Amino acid sequence: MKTYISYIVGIAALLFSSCAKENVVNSRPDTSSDGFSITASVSETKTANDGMNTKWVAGDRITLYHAPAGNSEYTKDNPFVITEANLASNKFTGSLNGTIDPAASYDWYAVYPYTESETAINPTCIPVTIATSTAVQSQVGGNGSMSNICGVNIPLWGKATCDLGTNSVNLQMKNMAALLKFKVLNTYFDSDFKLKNIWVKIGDEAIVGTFTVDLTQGEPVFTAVDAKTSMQLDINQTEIVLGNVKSNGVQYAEVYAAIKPFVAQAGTLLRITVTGEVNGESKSYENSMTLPSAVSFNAGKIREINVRTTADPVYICEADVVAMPADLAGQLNGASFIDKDRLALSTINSSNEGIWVYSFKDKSSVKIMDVGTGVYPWKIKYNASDNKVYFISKANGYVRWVNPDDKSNGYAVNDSNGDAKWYGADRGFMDIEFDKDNNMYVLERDNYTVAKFSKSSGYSSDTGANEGYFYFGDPRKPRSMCTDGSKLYVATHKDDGTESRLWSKDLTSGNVTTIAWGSGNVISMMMDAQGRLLWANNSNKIYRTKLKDDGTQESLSGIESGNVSGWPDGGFMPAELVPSPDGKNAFYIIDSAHNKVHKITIY
Amino acid sequence: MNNSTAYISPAITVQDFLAGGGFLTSGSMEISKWENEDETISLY
Repeated sequence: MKTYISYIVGIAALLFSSCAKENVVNSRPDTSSDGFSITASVSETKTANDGMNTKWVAGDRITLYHAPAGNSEYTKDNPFVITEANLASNKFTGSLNGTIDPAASYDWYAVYPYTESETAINPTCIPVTIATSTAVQSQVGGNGSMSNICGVNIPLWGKATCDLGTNSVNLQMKNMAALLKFKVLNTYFDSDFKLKNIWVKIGDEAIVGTFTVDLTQGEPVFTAVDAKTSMQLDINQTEIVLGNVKSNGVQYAEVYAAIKPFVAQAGTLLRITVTGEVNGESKSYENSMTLPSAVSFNAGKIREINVRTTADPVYICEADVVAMPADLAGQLNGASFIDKDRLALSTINSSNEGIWVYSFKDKSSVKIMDVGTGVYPWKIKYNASDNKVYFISKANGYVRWVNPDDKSNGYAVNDSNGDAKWYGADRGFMDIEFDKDNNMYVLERDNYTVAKFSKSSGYSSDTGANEGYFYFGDPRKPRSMCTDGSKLYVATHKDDGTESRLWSKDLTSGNVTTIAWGSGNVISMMMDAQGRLLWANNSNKIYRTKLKDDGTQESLSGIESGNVSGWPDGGFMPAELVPSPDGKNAFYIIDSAHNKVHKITIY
Repeated sequence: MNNSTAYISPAITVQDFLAGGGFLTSGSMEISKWENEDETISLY
């Protein structure tokens, strides 16, 4: 006959796997019991947070349920409580209700905080509060501290299945909430920002408030009771002041808030408003985006969200990241990354003309090719498909290449006899690009055109003669170009200063569009990894915009001394703009006036 | 050991057990650490 007994249970989480075998000690002989009352404080104690660890606080209580394994006949047990003396060992004390068969397997559910709700008779309908019932959370700790999340409700739960005859109940308590980590960048250029609050809404999802939770479905399943579809994190118990970009560089605040875990589907509108004080005046800026793909806010995990305080981007310049030999001052002109460590450079207009490779790792440059004197290797472009640095001679009108590793070199464009083809100075070769199929384009300023040399013909076919591939006509002189692989972007100007214009040509359809009008002489262009077009003129101004599919563009940003932290002293000639090789939002300026390279990172 | 009777964790002594009225029990629970998601959402 099966013997039912009263029992005492040791709940051990621990380092063992769930339900690890363990010796047990005889206790009270065969009786039944309703347990007894715990006299511990019933005040709502919150767990404490220490970095990524959550710790119990004396007086913390848990609710325990059990039922025969796979059975829904749950018994709610008496509160288990942790005392000051047991904090170090994470030991809880309490007692069970009902009777139990020591040889039978049971499902055990633990929930923190303890609930005396009459509805919480089983683990399928436990009332919980995620964060706060008022939809307002407060940051308790300072910048970067996770301590605020001990001030809000983040329920814990655990489940194990085992018998008590030969095992202990091992429970690993898991967080029921997800955390948002707001990383706030102060984008006020010359003003400090005192962070006051952050408001967030993720679609129409109920993210905080009171819910009932069913723990028997594998993962907690929430049902809203009095839940809120937005929440606010107040910074009112600590002060977080972010310095300004101009004086302090990049300034971030990192604050945390709890929400109910869920999956936000693609197309969900995420809205986050950052509010603070600037010179005593309240300022708010809403950051928002429509999620391009589903995003999970998982229980027990921290999702970092980067937001800013203004719509304007922030530019930080790191000056002189490359310094070439002093005797080359005024000569640096072309540049192209070979890889993340190596930047190919060209020098012009000196007895030391040539192609160089600067190593960021070694912080030194090596000349990999002498090109002679008066050649003017104006612009260069590295082509990864054949590991060659191509360069054009403005003076002689030819295209050559050099291998950056073995330093072999040759002419890229040859005539039908296989001899190097020199077009002469009259064509005004001033830029070179490759498209996604490695077809080569050469900008001919004084021929008012861009020539195309197809890869399939070994660059022997020349469409540069006559009107060329992309012809603008006298007096529009192309001066600089770049490509995203599918479109060619070219800047033209008239010598009389009456027109400056940016064009695009679709390399598949051949369609030509004017994308911007301006003034000045655009001397360098680039397309960055974020799909933004940048161009610089000979007045030290750099412009940045994103071209949209409908042909329009987002607002134009000017990048110049007044809005760039660390902008190099004095004027310079931005002979070339080079995208960051790591795909990050940064670019390099070739400062030909000072023989330096500067890096500008965009936030 | 008599498996037909009740059980307590070895972490508790008989004296503790009795002092608790015979039903006081003891155990421990560890709380999972927070983990960072692999990907960040950037709204700029």
